[in-house]
Amino acid sequence: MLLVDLAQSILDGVLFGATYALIGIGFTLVFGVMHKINMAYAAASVGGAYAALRLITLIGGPAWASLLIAAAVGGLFGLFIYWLCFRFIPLSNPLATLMSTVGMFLLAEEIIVHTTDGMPQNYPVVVGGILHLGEFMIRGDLVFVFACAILAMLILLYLLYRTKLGTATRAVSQQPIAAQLVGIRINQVNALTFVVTGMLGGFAGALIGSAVGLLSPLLVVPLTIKGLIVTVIGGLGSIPGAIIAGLLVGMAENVFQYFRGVTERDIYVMLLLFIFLVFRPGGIFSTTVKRD
Amino acid sequence: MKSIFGGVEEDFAHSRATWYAVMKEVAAKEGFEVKGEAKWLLNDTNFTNQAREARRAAADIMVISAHPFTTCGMLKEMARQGVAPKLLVGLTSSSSLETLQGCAKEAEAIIIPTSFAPVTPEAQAAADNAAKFNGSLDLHSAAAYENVMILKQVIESEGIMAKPDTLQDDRNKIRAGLAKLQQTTGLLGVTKRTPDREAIKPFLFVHAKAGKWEVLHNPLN
Amino acid sequence: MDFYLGLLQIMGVHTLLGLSAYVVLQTGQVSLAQAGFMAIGAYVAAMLTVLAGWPLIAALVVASLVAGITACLVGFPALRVHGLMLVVATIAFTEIVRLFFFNFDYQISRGNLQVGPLGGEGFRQIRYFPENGWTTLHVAVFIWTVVALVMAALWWMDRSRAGAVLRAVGEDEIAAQSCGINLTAVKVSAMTAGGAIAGIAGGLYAHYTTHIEQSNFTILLATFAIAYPILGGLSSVFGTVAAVIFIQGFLVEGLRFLGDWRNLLFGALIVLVMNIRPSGLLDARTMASLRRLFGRKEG
Repeated sequence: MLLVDLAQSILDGVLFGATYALIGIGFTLVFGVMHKINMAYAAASVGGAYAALRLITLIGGPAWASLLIAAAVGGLFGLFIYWLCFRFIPLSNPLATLMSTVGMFLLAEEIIVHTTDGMPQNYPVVVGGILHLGEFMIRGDLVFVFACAILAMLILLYLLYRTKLGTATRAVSQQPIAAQLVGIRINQVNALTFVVTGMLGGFAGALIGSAVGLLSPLLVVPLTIKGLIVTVIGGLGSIPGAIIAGLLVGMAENVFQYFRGVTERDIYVMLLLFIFLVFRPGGIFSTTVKRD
Repeated sequence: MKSIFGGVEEDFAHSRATWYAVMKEVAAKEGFEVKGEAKWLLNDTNFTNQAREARRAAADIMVISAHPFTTCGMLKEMARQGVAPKLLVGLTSSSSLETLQGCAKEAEAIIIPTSFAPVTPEAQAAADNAAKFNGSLDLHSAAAYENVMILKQVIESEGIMAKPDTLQDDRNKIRAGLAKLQQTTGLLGVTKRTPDREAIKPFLFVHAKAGKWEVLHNPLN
Repeated sequence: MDFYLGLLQIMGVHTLLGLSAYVVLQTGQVSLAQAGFMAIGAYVAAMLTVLAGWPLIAALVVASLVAGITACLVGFPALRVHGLMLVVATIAFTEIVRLFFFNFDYQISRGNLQVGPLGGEGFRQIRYFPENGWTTLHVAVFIWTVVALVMAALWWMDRSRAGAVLRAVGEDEIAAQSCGINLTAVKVSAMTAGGAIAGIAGGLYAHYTTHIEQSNFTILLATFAIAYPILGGLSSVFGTVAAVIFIQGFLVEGLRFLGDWRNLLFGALIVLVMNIRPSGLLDARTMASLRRLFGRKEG
C-alpha cells in the first residue's frame, strides 16, 4: 500500500505540475525571449479567466468556450500592460518596468477582489473524468492541461522560428537598435508579442481555474511565484525547459508533502530551488552559463 | 456512525484550534474512533494526497476545519476520488455565501454548527434588509454589526465625548461599561451573558441544500 | 495624536527596510531577501528581550549582527546569479526563512504563561515597551533616531569611495571589474550591510507591534522593500524616505477617505509614477536642483 501511495503521489504531483508548466511557458516567453520583466503576468492571466467566467455565466454557453474568451480577453490585457507599463518607460531602466508591473499586479489583484468581493468563484469542468489504471487514478483534466501545454509549445515555437513576427520579436529582443535600422517597428512588434503572450496567459488562467475548480484572488501570488520558479529552472526562454520544470516542481511538492508533511513541504522545495539556481544558473537545458 | 476524520488548514490558528482542541478531543471523549487528520495550507490548490488519506481512513464522519477556498478545493478532490463520508461537517467560517459560490454542488448536505442564521423574526428582517442591497447577512457580518452596535450602546450610555484630555478616562469607562452589560439586543433578539461575561448565544446547525444555507436544527425551538 | 505617532513608527521601520534594499540596489542587484533578513532580526531581537531579558539596544545590535551574518553567508552563493535568477533565489530564501519560523517552537514558562515563538500561532507577549514605561512618543523618537543614524551612515557612504565603488558595480560590472574592483567582495558587502539594516528594522518592528508571526514576512513585504528605493530614486537615501511617505503616508493613510477605491488607486498610482518618473520621485536631476536651492554648488 505504501509504495502504491507514493507512486500515486508522484503521479498526482507530476500531473498537477502541468498547470505550473502552462503558466510557466508564458513567463519564460516574456522573461526569456523578450527580455522583459512582467510581474503582472499571472495576475492578468487569472483576470482573463475571471472575465471569461463572468461572460460565460452571463450569456451561457459550453465551458470550453470560456477558454477561448479568456484567451481573447488575456490578449487585450496584454496590450493594456504593454501600453501602461512598458511603452513610455525607457527600456534602459529595467527597474522602472519591474516596478510598474508590480503596480499593475497590485491593481489587477485589487480589481478582482473589488468585482467579486474576494469570494471564490466556481469554475466549470472543461474536460472531466478519471482514468483508472489498476490501483492508479489519473485526472483527465490535468492530462488535458498537459496536452494544451505541449500544443502551446508547438504553436509558439512555430510562431517564433517560422514566421516573420517571430523573427522580428527575436530581433527586437536581441538588438533593438539594429532591428530598428532594418525597418522593424519596435513598438508594434513589442505590442504584438504582449498580445500573443497575453492570449496564452488568459487561456492558461482559465484552464488552471478549471483544474483547481475555483477562481480566487488567492491564486495570484502562488501562480506568480510558480511561474518565476519554472522559468528559471527551465532556463530563461526555454519553452520545453519550462514544461519539464513545471512537472518537476509539481512532483517535488507532492513528494516532500508525502514524506515531511505540509508545513515543511515548501521549505524543501525552496531549498532545492536555491541549490539548483546556485549550481546550475542556466537552467535544465543550458550548457553554458547564461547571463541576462 | 462510529469513526471520524479531520481536514485542517494548518496555517490558520482558528482552523487548527477548532479541530485539534475542540472537535478532536470531544469526539474521542464521546467514544468516536478518531482516524487522524489530513493537513493543508490556506492557499493550497492540489489536494490529491489529502483526499487519498481521507479515502484510506474511510471514516463515517469527515470534518473540514478550513476556509471556503480550501474547503471547496478539498471537496472537489474528494468527489473526484469518490470519497463519500456518511456525514460531512464544516467549520463555521465556511457557512457563508463564499462556499456556495465556490462549490455549491460538492458542498451539498454539509452540516455546519454556527452562531448565526436568520431563524428569529428579528434576524429574518435584518437578513431581508441586507439582501435588498445585494448583501448577504452571514455570521461574520452579523457578528461585526453586533459588536459595533454594542460599542455604540456603551459609548452612549457612558456619555463618552472622545476629547483628547479624557482619553484614558474614556478607555476605562468603555471597559467598565462593557463589563456591566448583562444582556444585549442583537440581530437574533436579546442575548444574555454568563457571570464571566460570555455571550449565551444559541448555536444552530445549518446545512447546504440546493445551493442555499438552511437551518437544520435550531435548539431554540 | 497617538495615531500619527503610530504612523510615524510604521514609516520609520519601512524606511529602514527600504534602505536595506537601497544598499543592495546600488550594486544593481534586485534582492527579495530583505523580508527574510527582517524576519530573522524580528525573531532574534524579540527572543532576546522576552526570553533572555536583555535590554532592547543590546538585542537590536545582536539581531542586526545575526541578520547581517546570514546575509553574508547567503550572499556568497546567491550573488553568483544575476537579474531574474537572483530575484527567484532570494524569493526562495525569504520563503525558507518564513517557513522555518512557521515550524519553529521555542517556549518557556513565565509565571502561568507560556512565552516564546509558537509556529503558526506566532510570537506573542513582546511587551518590552509597555513593561518599561515607554510611551508611543518615546518609541517613535527612538525609531527615528535609529533611522537618522542609518541614513547618515548611508549618506556618508554614498559620498565616499565606497559609494562610488557600489555605483560602479551597479552601472557596469565589466567596467568596474577592469578597474580592479572585486565584484564578489563588493556585492557581498552590500548584501551584508543590507541584511544588518533589515535586521534592525525587524527588531524594531517586533517590539512596536508586540506580536509577530510568519505571515508578516512574505514576498509582498520583500516587494515593498525594493519598491521604496526604486520608486523614490536611487540617487540618494532621501528618495527612499520620500517613497515611504508617498506609499505609507499618502497612498495608505492619505487616501483612506476614498474607502474601497483606495486599494484600486494604490496600484494605479504606482504605475502612473513609474511612467512619469521612471528614475524615481527624487532622481539625480531633482536632487541636483534641490541642492542648488539650498545654496550649494553641485559637487
